[in-house]
Amino acid sequence: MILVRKEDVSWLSVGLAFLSVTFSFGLNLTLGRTTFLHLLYSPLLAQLLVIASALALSTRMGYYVFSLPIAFLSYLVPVEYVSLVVLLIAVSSVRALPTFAREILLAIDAFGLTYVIFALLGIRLNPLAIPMAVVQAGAPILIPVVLFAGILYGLKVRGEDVEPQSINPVLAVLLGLVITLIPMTQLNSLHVPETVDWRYYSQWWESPTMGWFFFSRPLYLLMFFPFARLLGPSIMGELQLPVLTVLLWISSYKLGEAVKPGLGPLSSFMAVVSPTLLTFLYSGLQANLFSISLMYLSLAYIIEGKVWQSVLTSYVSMFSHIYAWAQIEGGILLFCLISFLLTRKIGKPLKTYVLFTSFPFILGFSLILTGFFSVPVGFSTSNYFTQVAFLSWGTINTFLYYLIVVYGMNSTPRIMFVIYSSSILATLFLGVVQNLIIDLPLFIPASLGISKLREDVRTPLLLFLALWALFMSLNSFPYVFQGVTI
Amino acid sequence: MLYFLGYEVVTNGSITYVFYLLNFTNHSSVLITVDPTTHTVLNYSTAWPISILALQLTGTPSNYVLGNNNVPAIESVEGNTIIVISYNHVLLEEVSHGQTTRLVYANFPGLANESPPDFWSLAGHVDLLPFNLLTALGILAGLQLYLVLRRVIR
Repeated sequence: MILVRKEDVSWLSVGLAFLSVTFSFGLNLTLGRTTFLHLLYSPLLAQLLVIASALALSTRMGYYVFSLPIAFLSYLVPVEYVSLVVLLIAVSSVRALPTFAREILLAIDAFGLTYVIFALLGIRLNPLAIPMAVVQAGAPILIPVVLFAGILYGLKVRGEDVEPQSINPVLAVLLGLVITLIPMTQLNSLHVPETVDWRYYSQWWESPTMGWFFFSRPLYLLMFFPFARLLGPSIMGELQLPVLTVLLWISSYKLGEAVKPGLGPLSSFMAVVSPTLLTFLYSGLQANLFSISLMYLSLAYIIEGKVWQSVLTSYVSMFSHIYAWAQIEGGILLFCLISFLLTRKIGKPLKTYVLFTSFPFILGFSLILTGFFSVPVGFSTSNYFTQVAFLSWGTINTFLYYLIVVYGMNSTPRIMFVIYSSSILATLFLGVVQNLIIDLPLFIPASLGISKLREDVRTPLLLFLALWALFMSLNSFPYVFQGVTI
Repeated sequence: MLYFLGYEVVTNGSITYVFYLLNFTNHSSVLITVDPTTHTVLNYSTAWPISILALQLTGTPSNYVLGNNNVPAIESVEGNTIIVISYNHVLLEEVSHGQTTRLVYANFPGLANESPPDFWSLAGHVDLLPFNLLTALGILAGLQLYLVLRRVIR
């Protein structure tokens, strides 16, 4: 028989509908630090694809035939709404991963690898990046849907034991260093990283001043002050990110090992290729990265029951960057409140931790509320989608990564699930949508999700995520393309 | 039709365009920058730009050429800075510190009545996804790598 298995047909219609969503909005591709919006925008192609998707769906199961008239509605209403509806219908018919998932991932990997090799030689073959971009950045409109689905999916706990996939632990730190050091090589036509923030840090180290910048991250600035004097402020400013990447690697390794012995190498790998590090690569915010790394360490200590270490790292984190600390600390306190209300008891280490850190949280929170540390409050749809889709030059839209995160969410420790849910819900009330998403320890559910996946697609998927991180790193600075700088 | 002022800014030989779209109903304006070097068009919401509207009328009478129109203007020189202002207090030209700002497009009472240019064509076009011999070779290399990866990755 030429016909593939039935499950595969429903995946075919999911794929067609996904492509239809991509073409109906256009592709957002980040090249040379500029995000070019609506490339390959083609409503006609989107209509054809959505009809093909509905056809494939109705051939699988008779009662899905109702998707055909919905698909033909795209001639009356804008196709972007129709393709979203058909995509959701198609997803509802899915049962298991298709057999051809591995082949498709490997093909995308092959083109991505070719792009990266040529780009390292200084030749940019942008069309080769399209397959990667379609999956990761093609339909940012779906990312909020996926993130909120994570809350619902994580609510049901399944007791199944996840066997962590083992990879070489050195791989993660090497990859992280390559990702953060590429912008400092000769490939960059400016020869200095293009991140926004490192200049502010080196300016402060050159001439320290008292003010909002100092008060929101005092410890971080003081800690690196001697090094900045020794090496020179601008060199220290540039070198912050590779150093902090190593710290992120250590903390994500420890947190992974605390959650499940043997998960460390994979979770540190997922931390290095996460939207977190990519966003920091584009936007700076170094103190924020330092602070969340320490908060991950603190979380690891809580889970292991080492109270004093966790309280100490929590305080270091607070004095390094109050915003990131307040977000994760708030999640931890909320977890304690919920578990106290549900079970009337909290574990001893957690109780001590809360006792020693809740006072500064209340103090800090009231300082944020009074406006001393200002936070933009309020919801606007356009701000929401701008931030999710392209505020940080496209780095936040790593669709497949979020999908894996959601898939691993129901095996994640409840404390991290509460931190995730509270932050995602907070995006509806605060204007800093992107900061709320990137500060989360998403690498834990992501590595659990990878471990739960079928064996034959794991390695191609890890390769894909690494290649995407390299692609984003190679495009985090301006370069000469066809004689002009982009 | 909105009133707008479009300036050509030349800084050390590189050109960018800055457009102010003025909304008189709520006293706001949209600032659009067009950069032909990076081929980008960016827009921001801003307040009314006081630095180009409502300037002091001092100096000697002169003439400014805007498109096909001759606009009567006032020119003042202060040190290295030359500023040309129209009689309704709009900045027409400013030369200072190696930067020249010139009004080149406008729809404004007393100045000109033009429609705004196409920002995208002003930004210049670069084919981001070209298909040439090199791309074809890249696709071939990609296909070959696909066959290799199928063997190499378990």
